[in-house]
Amino acid sequence: MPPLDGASFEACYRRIFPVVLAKCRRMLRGHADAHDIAQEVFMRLWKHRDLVKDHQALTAWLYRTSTRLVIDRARQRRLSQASELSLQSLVDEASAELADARLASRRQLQTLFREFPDQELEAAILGRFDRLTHPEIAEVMGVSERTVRRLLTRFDERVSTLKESA
Amino acid sequence: MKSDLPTNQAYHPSFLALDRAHLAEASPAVSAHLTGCESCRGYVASLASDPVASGFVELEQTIQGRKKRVARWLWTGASLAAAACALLLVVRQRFPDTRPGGESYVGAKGFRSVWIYVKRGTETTLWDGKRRLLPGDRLRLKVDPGSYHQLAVYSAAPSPTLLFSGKLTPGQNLTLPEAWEIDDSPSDEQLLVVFSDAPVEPDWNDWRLGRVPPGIAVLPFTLPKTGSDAGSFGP
Repeated sequence: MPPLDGASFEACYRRIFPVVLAKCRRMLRGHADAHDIAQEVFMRLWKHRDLVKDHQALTAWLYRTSTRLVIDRARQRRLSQASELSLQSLVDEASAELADARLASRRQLQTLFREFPDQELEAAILGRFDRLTHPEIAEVMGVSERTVRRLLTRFDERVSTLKESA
Repeated sequence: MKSDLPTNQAYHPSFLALDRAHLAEASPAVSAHLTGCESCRGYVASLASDPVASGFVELEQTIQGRKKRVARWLWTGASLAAAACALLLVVRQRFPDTRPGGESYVGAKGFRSVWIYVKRGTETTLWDGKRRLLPGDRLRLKVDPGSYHQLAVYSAAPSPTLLFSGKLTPGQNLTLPEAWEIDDSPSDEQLLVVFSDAPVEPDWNDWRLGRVPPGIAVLPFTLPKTGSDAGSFGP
């Protein structure tokens, strides 16, 4: 039976919104940003709730949608400084040996979101903020594990290049 | 600044697995982990606690607000469309279109052009190059002379017959004073519209072969009739 079949708005909210909000807070330290995006994700879910087949598909959709919304916001430079700082930690996690070579400025973070491909950013966020394994990232993104490995390798290489050029 | 990720990531299930444990059923491996890991157990427990009621109310209001905004936009759009239609009606009544049919036409300014209007019953429309004619339809032409001074219109079938001849004023469109009724013969209606700088004697044999002298433009139109083959449109 579809997980949201016949569920009231309130019941759905009480059960699922905390999951979405927790996911957004892992990515964004700015409380207002995280809350805004969580609301947006939940509203989209509610609008398309009839299409959700099972819990597995539901959680994969929540992760995919919230991650992409964060990437969109970062690209549009519509995040608070606190949220941008939390996204910078994504880059710091990318390479242990370069962990102390932090991105010097917001401009470099903007370069990252402007120039890095969507899929690489998505895979990196899912892996580093949400602790997803490669098979889990593959499931959420709808790609193969091999593709996930390639995306993460490319992401690390780009981050290294970005830091070296700083 | 460090993120909130646990330091011993390798031994913790992903947040996706923990979320699934909260929403559905935990896998045996996750259940076993939760038994021994206070941190992950705490995370799952935090998901089970009710979110703040104010958030629920706020979100419900946001959704209602969006619905109202959509409805408002729909109403606004419908109102604007209605207002535009009313305005158009007023303008058309105050400034009646002198063209029969009133369809728009876009063409290169200063280049000879021909509009063919078809009147069927009380309705007049601009011929679209494809519409089939019926016996009893009436044709009327309007021309843009471009730089030409003279116009002649011929009916080509069965043999060229002069329908109209008159002077043109370059740059001024002319609606021909006469209209022609489509007869019930089975053949398509063929018109030849000849622009020139002075009256000319047509030389059909040469003109049919494309040997039109300089200073003369011949525009042929074939208007299909119902029951005949599809027509063609001249240049």
